[in-house]
Amino acid sequence: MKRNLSLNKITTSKEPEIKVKELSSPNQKIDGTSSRVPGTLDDGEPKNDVVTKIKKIIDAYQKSMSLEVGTTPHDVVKETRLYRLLHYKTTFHVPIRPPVLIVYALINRSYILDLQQDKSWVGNLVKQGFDVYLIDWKTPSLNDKYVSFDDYVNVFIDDCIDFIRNKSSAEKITLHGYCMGASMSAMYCSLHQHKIKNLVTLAPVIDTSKDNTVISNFAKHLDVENIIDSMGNMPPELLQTCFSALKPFKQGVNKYFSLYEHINDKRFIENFLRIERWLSDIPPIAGEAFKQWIKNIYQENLLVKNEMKLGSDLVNLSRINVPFLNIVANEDHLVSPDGSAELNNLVSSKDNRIMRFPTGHVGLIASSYSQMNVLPKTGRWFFLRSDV
Amino acid sequence: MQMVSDQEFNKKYEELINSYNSIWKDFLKLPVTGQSNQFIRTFEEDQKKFQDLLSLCSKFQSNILNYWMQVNQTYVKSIAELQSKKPELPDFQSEEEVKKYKNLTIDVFEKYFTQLFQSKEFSVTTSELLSNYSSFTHILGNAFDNYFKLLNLPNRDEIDMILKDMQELKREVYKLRKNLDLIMSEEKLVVK
Repeated sequence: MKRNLSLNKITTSKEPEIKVKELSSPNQKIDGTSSRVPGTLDDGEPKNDVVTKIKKIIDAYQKSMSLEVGTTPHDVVKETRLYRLLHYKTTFHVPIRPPVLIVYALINRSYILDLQQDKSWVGNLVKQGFDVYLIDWKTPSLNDKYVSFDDYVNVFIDDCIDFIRNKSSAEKITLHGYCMGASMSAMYCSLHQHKIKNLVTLAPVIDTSKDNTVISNFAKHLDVENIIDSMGNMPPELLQTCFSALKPFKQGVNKYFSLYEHINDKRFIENFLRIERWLSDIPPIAGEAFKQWIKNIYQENLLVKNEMKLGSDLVNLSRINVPFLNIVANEDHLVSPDGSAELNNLVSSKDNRIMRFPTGHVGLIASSYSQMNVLPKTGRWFFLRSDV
Repeated sequence: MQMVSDQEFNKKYEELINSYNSIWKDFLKLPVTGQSNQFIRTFEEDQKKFQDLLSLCSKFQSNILNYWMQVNQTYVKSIAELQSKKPELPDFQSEEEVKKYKNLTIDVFEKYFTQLFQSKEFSVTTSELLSNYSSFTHILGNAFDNYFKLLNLPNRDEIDMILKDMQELKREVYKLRKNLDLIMSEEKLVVK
């Protein structure tokens, strides 16, 4: 044992010194090179680390607005202050006639029907050879607070149908609506049937006496006159509040757990974010139209009683006698399936069919199930009643 | 100090506000003739709006207490049911057991909160809250009417009248245009 008197240290036999080199970043290897693979999602960080996953979630949400939606090629063939008429570019040399006009609802945006390439309702119909048009409703301003259902049905939809008939030289078209758009399509068909060859509705709001959903419960007790008189149009914040009460934990909370679990699945994330974008993309609804929607349809149930008036016209659903297909989602928590199915009992069509599917309101049009099950049957129904 | 329930508190609070309002109303029975009659009229109108605002605030308070009472009761019921399922709850030994607990919690809360949102009582309370908020914005809007008049500017009701007329005119023009198109197309057929 040697004693270093100057340092007062007692040293034993010489032991090798172990130098610990501190890494400047988590990506840096011991030999100084980086483990990061540039230009890819693989940044070399541990993928299952909680902090990393949370960072990825935040990053994904920030990039969500840059994800493309409504990518099926189309032209805007008509545009006004309140709507655009989109014409999808057909893949067939001669598309199947008559043309199909899709009427979307006034709630959220129409790109849910063309969310992404592998889950596009519109895209699938175009691939099947149909000549597809879509009414994309624009955002109403406070100047449009007196735009009513009479305007939406008897002016805007009618204008679009006349435009399509002139453009495609078709005497009649197939009218196809989703949700509130399906209700508007049914109203239109009862008033202007001479322009319609076939009617197809997806989850229409018809008989609200059979509707026990949360939305129906709120709507039936809403003092809509007071709200619209003071606010003009129905503001998106109130709509958002109402929708957040639908499956608040299974969808509102559980979806974030799913997101966390699948954060490394790029396809899952992109689909998830597109839906999130659509869910938060809520425009206001024109005041008068919203008032009629809540009072006449939810509170007074006039559509079923054939007492609903659009301007001076009385909507009588029993006048509908064109070939009719009603597509209903059995697990729909926004629109009661029994309320939707009632439309088949109200119309006078001899060619009258209902198709029920075990899926939800949005799943009916924007899911893999829809692509595999709903669309082939819907397309076949269209085809059998086409001009081919 | 005597403890009272939330509903009793709401009632007493409303009664108090109403009694203040009636005293203030009596106090404001000022003469409207004479030199300062327009000023007194304006002052009375403004005071009435202020009273309406006060009684609206008391209703709003009552409704918001009601709202939170219902939400809290639902939360308590959910927790109670979760506790009652204690034998089924896992020991958190593995990730699967944590998932099982999470799923159970979500199911229980979903059941009770959906029942709440589907109940008439909750929807009536929510509707009243929204109605109170709308009335509040209405009263605020009306409060500034006199100042718009002073500045010779139209108020909201007058603008609304114009918008309504414009929308009706647009509909009429559209119908006329359609009829004209129909007549023109019929004439073409006749000529052919």
